Amino acid sequence: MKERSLKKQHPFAMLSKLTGSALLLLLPVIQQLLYRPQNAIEIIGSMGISALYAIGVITVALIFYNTCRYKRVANGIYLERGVLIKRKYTVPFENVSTITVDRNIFAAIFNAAKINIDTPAGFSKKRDISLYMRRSKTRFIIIKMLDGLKTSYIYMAGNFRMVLMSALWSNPMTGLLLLAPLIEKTGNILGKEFNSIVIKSVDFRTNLVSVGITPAAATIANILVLGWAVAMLFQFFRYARFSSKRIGDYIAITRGIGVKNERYTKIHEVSALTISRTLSMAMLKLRSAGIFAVGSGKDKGDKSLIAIAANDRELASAIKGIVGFDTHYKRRLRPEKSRFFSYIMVPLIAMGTVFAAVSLLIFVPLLDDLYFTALLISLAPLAWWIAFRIYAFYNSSIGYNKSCAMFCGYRKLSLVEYVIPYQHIQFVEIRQNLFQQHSGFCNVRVYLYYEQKAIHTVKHLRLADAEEIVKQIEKRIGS
Amino acid sequence: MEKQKPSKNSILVWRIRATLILFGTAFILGALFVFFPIISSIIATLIIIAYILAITIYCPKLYKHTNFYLVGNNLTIEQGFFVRRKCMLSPERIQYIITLSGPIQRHLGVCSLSFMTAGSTQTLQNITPEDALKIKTALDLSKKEVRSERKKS
Repeated sequence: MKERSLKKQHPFAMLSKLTGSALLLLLPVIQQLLYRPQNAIEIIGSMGISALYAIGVITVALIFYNTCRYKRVANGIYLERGVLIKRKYTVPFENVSTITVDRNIFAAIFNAAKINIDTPAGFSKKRDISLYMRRSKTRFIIIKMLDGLKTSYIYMAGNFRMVLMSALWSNPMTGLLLLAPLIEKTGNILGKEFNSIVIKSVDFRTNLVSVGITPAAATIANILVLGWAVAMLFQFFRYARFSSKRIGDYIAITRGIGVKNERYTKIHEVSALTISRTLSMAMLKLRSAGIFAVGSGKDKGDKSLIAIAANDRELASAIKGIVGFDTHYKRRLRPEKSRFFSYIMVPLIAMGTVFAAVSLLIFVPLLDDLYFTALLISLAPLAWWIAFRIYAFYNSSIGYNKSCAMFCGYRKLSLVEYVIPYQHIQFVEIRQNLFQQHSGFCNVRVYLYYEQKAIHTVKHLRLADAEEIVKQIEKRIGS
Repeated sequence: MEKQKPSKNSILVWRIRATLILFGTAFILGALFVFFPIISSIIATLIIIAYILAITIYCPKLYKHTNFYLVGNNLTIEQGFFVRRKCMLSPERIQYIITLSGPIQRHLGVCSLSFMTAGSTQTLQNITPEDALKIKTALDLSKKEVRSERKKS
């Protein structure tokens, strides 16, 4: 076989590196603005220094670009990179778990695309290989990889689902649903209240504050709505034109407008299936499913979804068609009723603290009205938090069936269920803090075989029952 | 493969690194001396003692306790002085191998091998490029043997 020569990345890689150093390049600009040279010599001197600085940054980017080379070898991709510490390695094709192709608008202008390759090794945040290539070349790699394979299942999310998902997953959504009308009404109420106080008192400051309170509350509401709208648009563009397919032994996930992302994962490298919902999604009886494999989570905001805001029927069909995992419980353990308070304790304490502060401040006005309003407003998200924790209490569990173990617990404001085939479980750990040692309860953590950290935790289960279930799971891991 | 040692230049590489660290620390302590002369002096004395111990005792001992060899299909790496570690790497568990060489290593004709496994990385430091090639070839052959044995069974 003819020996191939080492190739450089697409020149867009250098531009991308410079974009990453944009803040560094802004420094001379800021310096020029702040320095304010007084005469021609100072102007020339400062501009010269700035120019040298910029040349230095560009030179470093150029050196990094020139020292990264790759070539295709018989069994994989060979890569050389590094300036001071030179690295050379070959990633064999057989160890490749996930290939991702990213194309954004700017890269498309230069006919470039970024290809990322992940193996079970490497780092939790960095890719094993990340290269810019010509767009046609990335297409060629994908076509070659999928050559002769048939598409057995396609899931496409409709536009309505995309909009719904974007709305439900945007953080300021909570503000839109709960806070914005509350802020407006609170401002109106406080304004009226303060107006009546103003009539009775001669406090000029209170008068000014009372005049300002309603517009300030309206401003907060406007900011929240704007933030929600931006977050929603961002989510929409990230997940628009979403489709997931099963092509032979690969799962192909395509999404995005503006920044198009294609991900190809080998089916046997899928370590877990995730089924998640927020409280708002649960109210609409919708859930999203994703896969957890090597390379998942390295892109910011990446959830590796295979079904978005789907109802039960659609979700079951997508899971069966794409990954084929059995999600039914043969045996299931939920938290006991006595653990209800443990689930809502933290948000309840937070709410109690805020409520006490608000009550105190009504009689002893130590804070400005705007801060007081903000405190009052924070009761709404805290109430939402408590509601979510109640929902999580009734739906958390661990269990198993013939082929998989299931761990359903809350993470931030989402209820996430991990369905993990036994061969991908490294071990299951039972943990007890000091309080749990006395009360006889525990938390259960599951570790995937290539991850150093626990992938999920289910809390507040009875120790004896948890030990029995974990024993059954471990028996099935070993067999 | 018999028990083998890294290149003898390892000790020199470690001594040069220790010296560079000493220079860097001296620079910082020199700056701190203006503000905290007594504390800086004490820290400087301790660092100098540690440096002398490192280059005279620690580096040779570390070299003495660093070995690597193949046992069957597995590569065994022994290293460490204060904490002695022995690690057996199976070829099926190794995803790929990175050859690393810094400027000091390149000048002295040595390199390091990083074995990337699922979930962790093991590094064998300061071996000759010839030994690196031998290890990579031996592991590659072992992997092929294991694969063909599996196919037969």
